[in-house]
Amino acid sequence: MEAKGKSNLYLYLALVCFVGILAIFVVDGYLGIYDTLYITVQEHEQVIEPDYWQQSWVKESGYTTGTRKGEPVYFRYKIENRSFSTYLSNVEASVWKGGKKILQMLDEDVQLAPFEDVTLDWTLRVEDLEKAGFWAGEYGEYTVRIELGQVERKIILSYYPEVPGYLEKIPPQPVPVPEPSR
Amino acid sequence: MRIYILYGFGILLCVSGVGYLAAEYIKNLSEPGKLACLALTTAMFGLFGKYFDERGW
Repeated sequence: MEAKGKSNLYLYLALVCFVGILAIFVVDGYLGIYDTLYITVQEHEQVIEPDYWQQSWVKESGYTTGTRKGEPVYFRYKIENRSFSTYLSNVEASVWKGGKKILQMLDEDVQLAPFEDVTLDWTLRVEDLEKAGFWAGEYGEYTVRIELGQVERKIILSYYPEVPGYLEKIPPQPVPVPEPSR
Repeated sequence: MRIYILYGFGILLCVSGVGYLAAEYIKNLSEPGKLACLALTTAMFGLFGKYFDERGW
């Protein structure tokens, strides 16, 4: 009887180890530094979750978005410190064209206490690109780089010309009734 | 006999599936997390071995 109880104890301890492994998976997945990017173009908000950047093809090509020529692009960058120590880093956001930095949009130091988060906002306007002398007319593609310490997020931003929408429906005009011939 | 082959095949698929998922998950774990998982896995297999040993297998 005692031997059976002892063997069961081994089984329970093994199950506890298994539950411990699952717990490590969950807790380790939660802890860390997480950044979420929100891009608003033409009143549509796009949310880029931290997991998105883990995909291999994204590391190469980045995130692609576009907007109509002249529309401002609103960025919101949320940094979460899910760790037990204070996180200190520099955040930079810049616009690049042809491998050359043309505009610095943000350069800020952030200090986050354990389990705190911060949200940074900035806007990219066409006028800023024009001032920098890099507005290429109707179409244009730019790279927006966001650097958080050693981490870099790349966004390919395309501008396209305004396209005409659907024509408005015009109610049919009344046709004059011809007068009867006499 | 055929049923045992099917059982074996099913168990093999389950083990390989769990192994694949664990391998994918481990890629995203931190270094201390990997170490703790390794320690717990070793302990788990050791305890399972002890359990079956006690049962006379």
